[in-house]
Amino acid sequence: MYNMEDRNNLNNIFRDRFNNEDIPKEEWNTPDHEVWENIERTLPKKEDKSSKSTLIPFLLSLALLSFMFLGYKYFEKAQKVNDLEILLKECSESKEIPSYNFSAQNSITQTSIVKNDKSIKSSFEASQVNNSFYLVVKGLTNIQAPNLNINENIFDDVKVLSSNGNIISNFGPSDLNLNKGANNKLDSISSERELNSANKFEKGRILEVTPLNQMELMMLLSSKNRLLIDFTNTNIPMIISSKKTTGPWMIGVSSGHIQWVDHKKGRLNNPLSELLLDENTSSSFNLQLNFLKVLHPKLSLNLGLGIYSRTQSSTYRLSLPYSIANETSHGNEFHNYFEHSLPTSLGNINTNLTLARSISSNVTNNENVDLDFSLANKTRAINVPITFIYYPMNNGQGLYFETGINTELIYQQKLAKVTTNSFHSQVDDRDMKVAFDRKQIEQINFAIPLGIGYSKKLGSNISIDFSAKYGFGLSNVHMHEGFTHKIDRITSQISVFKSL
Amino acid sequence: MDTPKLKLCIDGNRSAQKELYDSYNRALFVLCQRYFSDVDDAQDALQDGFIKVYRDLYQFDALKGSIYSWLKKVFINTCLEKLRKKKLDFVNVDDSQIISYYEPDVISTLGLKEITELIQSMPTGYRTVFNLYVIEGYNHSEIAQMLGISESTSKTQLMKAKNFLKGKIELVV
Repeated sequence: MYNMEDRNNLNNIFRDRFNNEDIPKEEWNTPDHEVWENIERTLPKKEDKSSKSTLIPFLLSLALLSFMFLGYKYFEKAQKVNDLEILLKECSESKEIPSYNFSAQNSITQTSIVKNDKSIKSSFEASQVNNSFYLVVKGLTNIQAPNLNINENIFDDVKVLSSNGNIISNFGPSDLNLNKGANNKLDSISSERELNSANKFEKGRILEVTPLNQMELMMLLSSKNRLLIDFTNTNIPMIISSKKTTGPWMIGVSSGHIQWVDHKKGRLNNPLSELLLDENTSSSFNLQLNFLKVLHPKLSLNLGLGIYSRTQSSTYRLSLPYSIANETSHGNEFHNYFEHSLPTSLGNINTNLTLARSISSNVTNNENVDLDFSLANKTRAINVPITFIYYPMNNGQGLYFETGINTELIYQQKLAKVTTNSFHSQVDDRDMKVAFDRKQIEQINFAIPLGIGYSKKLGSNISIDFSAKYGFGLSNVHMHEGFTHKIDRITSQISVFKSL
Repeated sequence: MDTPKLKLCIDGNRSAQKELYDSYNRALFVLCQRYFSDVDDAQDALQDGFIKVYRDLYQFDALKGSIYSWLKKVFINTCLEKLRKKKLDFVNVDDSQIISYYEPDVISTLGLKEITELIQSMPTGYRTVFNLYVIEGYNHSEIAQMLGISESTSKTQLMKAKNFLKGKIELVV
């Protein structure tokens, strides 16, 4: 007789001998080739659907972004040409302008042109001024022309006025030295008082400021979207801003909360019973990277790349006939196995349910057993919002409205929880195994957001945004014969942007 | 097999699936042969097991153990399911008849093939309990649950399996 130690040794010897996963190839331990061929035959045809389904939305998004970018560039170019054409036409129609004589070495630097309260700095340089010129600022709304006063030989004052003639900004020396000195031939156009009476600052009109005669203009568009006006006869290069200046790109980060709103229609008919008791979606935390492009002082394009996850929980009421004939004996219990395919938001899942009753229980054959079956699936997604932001009050800040399209690319779906709860007094739910095929799940969803927000500038190139959006879901997250489930989203978000 | 390869398997990449098969088919075929005396049955179990593996591989959690441990569980369950369909028959014997003999030294001299053949030569009930208890490491309570038998049945089947094995070992040596 051997003792307990020997017994354990023997067990360990057996265990160790069969615990090696790397077994040298021998005839007896090598299965026939047909085994793999049979396995392969049962596997889905080789179709790299997951990568394909990720690639297609990516390519579509890329194509959409490229299309929008090219369209924008075309629009921008066309607008520049259009502005230039209008400007040239307006200039050609200009009436004879009073002339001013400049002495040599007149110069202005760092003067400004103001558009809709937004200052656009421009550089003016004048030298060896022996001829006449005039500065044209066209198509501005509300105001906005620099008013150049001549004080002897120097441009020493620039005023910006609104359409009704009020002074908005005053640059340069605070003292207007109008009509100073015998050599100054200041015309009324330089005078605030005179401008008011002349009523020249109308919307969309060319404002003729500090005109000079004998000019020949050559206008070019500079690389920075500004008009370069070259006064060829006067040797005075000037740069002024074009009518529609697009702003720089801004980059920002957002974080926010998404509350999902479930919209279910119809009734789920599934082969086990027919009752989907409830299906709802948990809220999400959203983290997003944004790129903002100012298309117009009041209109911006926002491109985002966000990430979030959500959990969708479904509860089904199942009613199963408990067959005594199919029971198997397990100690003091009888077990019954149920294999079913159940339509869910994860597609058709395969369920393996084990029901159990004690040997002493009294259950009749095919007696109905009601139980709740709950499953939670966790979805991780990348969100690509492409939206337009309109600022009705102020340029690029204050209250805004936002709309566009959200594209949700799902990159992971997994079962978060599976539970069962039997309502039968004598039959218990012992085990539930669930398997699903990821390839059945929609990988892309769309939504249209409508939102309102408020943007506040914190500095020259930083702003903070608060927004609330309602996104109308366009895609179903669960659909099965007579039943559809869409989810809308309510997003509240805070963003910080910085100019690039 | 590393995690990226397993992810490829889950995504249906055929070469990764074949690699998984090539890596483990021999060890798992030996496992199946321990449960079935007939090689065709063992090959059927191997085939069914791998089909389940490719179907359920997404459930594998590397934090809970190695892929080989997970594969073994899948294949053990597959073998037991097939055995259940074949109506496992367990016969109880009196405890007084149980005599334990162990020959560790002799067993350790045998090759894997010989040991597998020894196990295969046992009646199905003995073999199944022996595999589950001695090699897989389950206790009698777990085995009783898995096979739907009482713990005492599991114990007596194991004792009889060992006695049977002893007789066979004596013949071999």
